[in-house]
Amino acid sequence: MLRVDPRDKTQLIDPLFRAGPGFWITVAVLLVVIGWGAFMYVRQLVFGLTTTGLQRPVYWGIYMVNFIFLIGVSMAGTLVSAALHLTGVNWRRPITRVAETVTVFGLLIAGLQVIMDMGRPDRMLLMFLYGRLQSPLLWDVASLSTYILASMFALYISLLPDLGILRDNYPVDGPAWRRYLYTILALGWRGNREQWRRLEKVIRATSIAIIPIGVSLHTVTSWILSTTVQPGWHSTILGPYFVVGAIFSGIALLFLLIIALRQVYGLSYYISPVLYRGLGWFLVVMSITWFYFTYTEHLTQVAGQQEAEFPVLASKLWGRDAATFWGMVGLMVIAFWVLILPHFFRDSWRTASVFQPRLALTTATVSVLSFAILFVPGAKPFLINATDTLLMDVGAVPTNTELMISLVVAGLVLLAGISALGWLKRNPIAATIIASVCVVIGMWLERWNIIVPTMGHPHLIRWSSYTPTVTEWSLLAGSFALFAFLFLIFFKLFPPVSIWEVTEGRVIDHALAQIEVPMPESSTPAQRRWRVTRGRM
Amino acid sequence: MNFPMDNPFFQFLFWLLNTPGIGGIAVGLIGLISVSIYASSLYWIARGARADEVDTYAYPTPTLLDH
Repeated sequence: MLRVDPRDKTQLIDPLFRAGPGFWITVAVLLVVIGWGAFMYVRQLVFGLTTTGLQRPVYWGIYMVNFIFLIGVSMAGTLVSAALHLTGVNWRRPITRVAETVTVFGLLIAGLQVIMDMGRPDRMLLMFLYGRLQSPLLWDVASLSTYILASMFALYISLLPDLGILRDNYPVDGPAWRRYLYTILALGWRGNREQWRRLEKVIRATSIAIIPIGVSLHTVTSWILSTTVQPGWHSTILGPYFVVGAIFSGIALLFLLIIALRQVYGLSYYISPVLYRGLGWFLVVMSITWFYFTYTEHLTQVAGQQEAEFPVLASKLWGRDAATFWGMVGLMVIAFWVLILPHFFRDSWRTASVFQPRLALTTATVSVLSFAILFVPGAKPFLINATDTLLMDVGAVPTNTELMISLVVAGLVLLAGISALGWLKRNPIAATIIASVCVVIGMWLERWNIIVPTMGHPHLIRWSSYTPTVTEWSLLAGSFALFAFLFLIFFKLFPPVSIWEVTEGRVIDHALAQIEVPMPESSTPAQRRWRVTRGRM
Repeated sequence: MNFPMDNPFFQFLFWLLNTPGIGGIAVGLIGLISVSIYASSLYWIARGARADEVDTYAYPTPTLLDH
């Protein structure tokens, strides 16, 4: 019989067997969205891909954007759980379960996107029957299969001791099927010394293996694009760029899910501010790295001035895809600002009129409205009376007036950011939530900016456009609802925080608190014995 | 003529890379090997319960694991 701390039982085990109206309402809403998505998918299956905005040459759209985005967020599980486990970082303990779950469900939903994109799912079988080793698509299938199996295994082995605890501390009035489920899944876990040793060895080996597998999946996904000669994709930097973006978006989504679980399950005892700080600094590092890679990716296109590549770049900078490109950049700048600058804010500045949240809200609203009125996406190319089709696509270079208006709007945004600094410093959790939302949406847009502008500007064709239809938006909503639904059901069956890991961490923290660490030995040189003073000469 | 494709080794590589179906077999093998390793590991952990030890623990510590 494995004993469990009464606090852990109250906060982590008992809620698994209670479901309030909020839970059932959320489940109902999610099922409605999933049902709508399923209906639209069946409709797409019957009528074909003509129900989508996909066409030649833009045959990859929202589905592939989702695929790359979800593959990306799944990287968080690998990094947080495996890398932090290997390096012995203590604050990882309450979030490893969530991180591993994000990986598994993210990969499952990512796989569905490929099937949706194929139009005819039966053709997936052809990949295995006639697949050739030279195909990057096949490498991606191999990499995805390996990664999903490894992630499921990693999640399961870290769950084993908790399954034993659940089996031994099962409530008397709990349903019989769940007791049976825990007993089967626990694989006869006793928790003797030999079992713990073996489990530790397997967890360590899995952690070592899963990091390169995860990196391989993200780079192989980039090779699907970069091994082609499509303008903008044929780049050596795309692999590391994908990995950096994956870690960045994964950490942000992980943070949002942890906050949601903390609120729903009341886990403030387990998920402490130390964790926010740790993840917050992680986001800052990834943000800087992401900016650098984005700059490098576009620098090569600017410097190259290739005839085929330049329209892709121009389309992003001031053409048809400018809204998504600058939207991405703007969101990432906001995220960076919100994470970094409040650290430099002094409490004595709080009374200054410029640092009032109301001013921030007003200027932010004015700037958003001005931007929406002045720069309606897609309107600009049609204002030009041009006969050149290329000009109709990318539009003209912005005029001085337009640049001036942009600078004024940017100034208003800057003022909003400065005014909000005091509030952001007082509310670090809210600040990190804002930053994470910006990063998640920004990274989805980044995937869009990689796929769609290039597809719209292939070789031999001047340009083409892509607008997603209701079918694609419905399947997008259905996919994310399915992700949330799986997450919700999983954490109704299993504890959201690894009980054995947090207990181990608590014991280690308690033991460390008993140790009295001495002050360091002073390096200041001893006072000189021979001192020359006035009057003694 | 010293052309690489005259060499049987390169002919084999060409066949390996370009023959339809070989990729599917490779993916199947990778999946099979992965699943076998994971199943064996789980079996090995489960077998650890048979060790002649009376004490059981709900959580480990570095001392228990001899770290």
